[in-house]
Amino acid sequence: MRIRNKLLISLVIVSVLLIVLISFTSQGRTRPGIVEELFGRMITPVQGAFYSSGEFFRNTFKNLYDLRNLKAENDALKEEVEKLKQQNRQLIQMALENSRLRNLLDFKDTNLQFKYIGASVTGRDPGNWYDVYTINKGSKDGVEVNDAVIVSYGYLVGKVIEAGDSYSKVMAIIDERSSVSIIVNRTRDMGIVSGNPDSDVIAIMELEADIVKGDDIITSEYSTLPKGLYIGKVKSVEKQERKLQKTVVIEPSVDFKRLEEVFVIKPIE
Amino acid sequence: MRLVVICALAVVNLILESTLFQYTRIYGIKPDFSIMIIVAYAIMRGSSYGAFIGLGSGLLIDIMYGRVIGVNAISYMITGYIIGQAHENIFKDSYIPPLIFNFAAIFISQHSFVLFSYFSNNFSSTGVPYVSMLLKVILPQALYNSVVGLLVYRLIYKLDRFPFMDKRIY
Repeated sequence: MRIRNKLLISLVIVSVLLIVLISFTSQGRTRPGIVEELFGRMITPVQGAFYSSGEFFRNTFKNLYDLRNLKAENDALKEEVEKLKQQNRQLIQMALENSRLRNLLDFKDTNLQFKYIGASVTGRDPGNWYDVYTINKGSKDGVEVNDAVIVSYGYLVGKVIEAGDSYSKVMAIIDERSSVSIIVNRTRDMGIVSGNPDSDVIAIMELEADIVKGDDIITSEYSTLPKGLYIGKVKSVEKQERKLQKTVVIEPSVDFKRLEEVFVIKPIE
Repeated sequence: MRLVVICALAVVNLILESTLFQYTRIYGIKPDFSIMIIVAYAIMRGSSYGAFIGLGSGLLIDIMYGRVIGVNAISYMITGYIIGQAHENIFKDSYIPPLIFNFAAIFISQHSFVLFSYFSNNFSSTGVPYVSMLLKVILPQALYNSVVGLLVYRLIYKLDRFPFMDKRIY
């Protein structure tokens, strides 16, 4: 057979095999296969080194650039810290009183404590369509599929979609395929948010929902993720009368361009 | 020997693309360095090289970052094969082929990727209109890719002419 025909035929055979592979894996998987484990285990540490070196350079440049505004920023921050300390004291008082009243009324204690697993981001999907990150902790560190991933201040980053032994894949909330059940903090209206190509998060809510720019969005108790995780603030609300819905654009509080250290959280009852 | 170098190149490319090359994003669009390597070898050495490197790179990306395995692999493989068909009729040392072929390669690979993602239920839940996808992602990436692809092509071209590449390792 001529070389050209052989290549074309083997190409067709491989294409068919790949299509079969696609159809099998599109059903959804939670654990990577053996081959992937191997690759992931080898590649993730190296990626980690590169990723953190990139961060180092970017931080250095940013620090040099910020040097000028440092004093003014420092003063503003000190003032804000004092205000927040005061608020914090008041909130602790309220939490204690809440707890006391709940006990009086015999409510079940719904205060969830979390177990934190610290991890570093080692890489991001090189394509332009998706936002999947790999982190350097896996099932032997306790990471399981559908765990929430947050940044240290409590902002939701995404959830774990696959957990290998020593590495895991996290799908960010700005990925178009992710969906998180949320409530609006002020009005307790419910909705679902998905990602968007512009790196915002979109919620489709009913036309009568009471939601305005600046509202806070947090995860609801119906989500598979722990409730009360902060997602972001509403950036704009657009009414779509014909579709009987409101399109709400939310700006996520996590800066996905500067993701370094994250925590995988697991609720402990 | 060439095989070893290409494998090493593919792995190093994956690592760099997911870490350092993320900083090359302009308005969120990053050039596809795997395509540049595939196109370079497809122009220089033909369809078989293009297809195999495409398959390998695509599988690597799918393994590390994909939810559905095989989408990147099949897209890159088809692209590598098609671009490699021009191999016999092109001057390898001219500057024009890498420009044009990188542009075309992005078109082919991204359309194929979107098609396969859509059919394996892997795409957005709200839907993205085709025209906006074309204008905001595919076209800018094609332009970005052809410019940087020219540079990468010259580097790979120089690399491939070293005598040690032809050396056998067995």
